[in-house]
Amino acid sequence: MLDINIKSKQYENTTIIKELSLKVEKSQFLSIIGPSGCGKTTLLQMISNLDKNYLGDIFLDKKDMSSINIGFMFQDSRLIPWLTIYENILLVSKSKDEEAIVDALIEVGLEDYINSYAKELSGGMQRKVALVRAFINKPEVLLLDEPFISLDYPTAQALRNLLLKFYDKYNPTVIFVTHNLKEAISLSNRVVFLDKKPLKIIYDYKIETDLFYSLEDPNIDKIKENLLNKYPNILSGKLDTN
Amino acid sequence: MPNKTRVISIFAIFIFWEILALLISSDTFPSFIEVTKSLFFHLSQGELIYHLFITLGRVFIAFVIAMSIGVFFGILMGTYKKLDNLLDTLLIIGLNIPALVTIIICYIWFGLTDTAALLAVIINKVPTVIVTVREGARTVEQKYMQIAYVYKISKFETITKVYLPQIYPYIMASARTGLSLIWKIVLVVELLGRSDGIGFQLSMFFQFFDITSIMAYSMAFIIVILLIETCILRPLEKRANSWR
Repeated sequence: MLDINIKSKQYENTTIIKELSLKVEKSQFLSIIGPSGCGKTTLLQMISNLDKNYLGDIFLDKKDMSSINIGFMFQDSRLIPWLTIYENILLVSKSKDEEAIVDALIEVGLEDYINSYAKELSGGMQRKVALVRAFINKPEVLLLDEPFISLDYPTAQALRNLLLKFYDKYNPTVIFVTHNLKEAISLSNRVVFLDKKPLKIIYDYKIETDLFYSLEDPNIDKIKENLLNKYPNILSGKLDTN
Repeated sequence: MPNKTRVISIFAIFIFWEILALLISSDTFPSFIEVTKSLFFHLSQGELIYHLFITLGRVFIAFVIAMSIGVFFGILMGTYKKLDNLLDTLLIIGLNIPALVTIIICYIWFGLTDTAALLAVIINKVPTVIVTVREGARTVEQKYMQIAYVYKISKFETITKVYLPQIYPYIMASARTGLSLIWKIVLVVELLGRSDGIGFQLSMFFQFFDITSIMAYSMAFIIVILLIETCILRPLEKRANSWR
C-alpha cells in the first residue's frame, strides 16, 4: 500500500497542497486528473523523493520512499543525450544485466537503435526508451507524468499498449498523471480528480471492470459520458452537479 | 589530422615571410630559410631540446595543477551561490592582476626558485579556468540530475556520466586557451628568474641581438604546442562532442 499523507506543501509562500491523504493499493493503476497548475507534477516529485521540502510523509508498506525502487516517466523522454540508447538504460539498471537490456529494447522494436543517440530517434521511439528505462529495474512504484503528451494518436496508442504489457508483467503500483479522461479510464482501475490551490481530491472514482485495452472500446465513452453528465465541470476541478 | 586548407595557409605564411624578408633584406629580419637552418643547428647542438623539455615540463606541471584547482573551484562556485558570492571579488582581483606583478611578487617572496616560478604561472591561470568552468556548472541541467536521483544511480556514476559530461565542453575550452596562456607566461617567468628553459635562452639571444636564434627557438616551441593542440586536445574535444 502506498500511503500518502501530506500536511502542507508550500511553494514561494503559496500553499499548493494542504491536508492531502491518498492511499493506493499495491499494484493499483491510479490515474490523476486535475486542472493545469494544480500541483500534480509536484506531487509526483514528492512521491519520488525528488522534492522533500514538505510537511507530512509518504510510505510504501511502511518503508520510506528513499529506499523504494521507482520508475519515472516525465513529460519529455529525458534521455541523456551524450549516452547511447543502450547506455541510457545501462546507467539506471541495477543488475547491469546487458542481455536483459538488449532484450527489452528488442521487445519494443528498437533493436536497430541500440547504439544510437537520442537525437537520432523520433519522439515516439524516445518515449519507448524512457518506458523501457522506467521498467528495467522492475519498479515497485511507477510514476508517469503525462508521458504520452504531444504524440500523435497511433504512436501514443502503441505506447499505451506497451505500458499495459509491461504493467501486466511487473505489476507495479502506478500513479499516472494525465489530462485525457478517456486515456485515464482506459488504463486505470481508479481515477482521482483534483482541484487546485490548494490541491485536493474532489472525486475518487473506482472502475469496477478489468483494464480496458483500447481507447476505441465503446464502454470507455459510456463511462466518460456518465461522469461528465453527472459532473460537467469535473475536469476543471469543480464538482457541481447538473 | 590537419586538413588541406590548414596546410595551404601554413605554406602561404612561409612564402609570404620569405618574400617579405627578401624585400626588407635586413639583419633584423631573417628569412624563413635562415631561421630553419638555425633551428636545425640548435637542434644538432642538443641545447634546444634540453631547454625545450625544461620549459615543457614547467608548462605541463603548471597546466595540470592550474586546471585541477580551477575545475574544482569552478564547479563549487557554479553550484553553490554563497561560495560564489564569497569568492567572486577575489576572483575578479585574480583576473585583473597583471601576470608580471604576480611573477615579481612570487620571486621576491619565495626566491628565484622553480616553485616560485610555477606558483606565479598557476596564480595567473587559475582564475580564467574558474570563470569558464563556473559558467559550465551553472548550465548543468537539473532534469538529467533528477534522472540520476530518481533511479538512485551511484554518486560516482552520477558525477562521471551525468554531471561532468555537461561541463566537459567548458573544461576543454579552458584547457585549450589555458595551454596557450600558460606557455606564454612560463616564458616570461623563465626570462625573469630562471637559468634554463626557452625563456632564459631567449633572453640570452636578446642580449646578443641574435634574432635568428630567437625566431628558431620560437618556431620550435610553436611547433610543439601546435602538435599538442592537434594531436591531443582537439581529438579529445572531438570525442567529447561526438554525440552532438
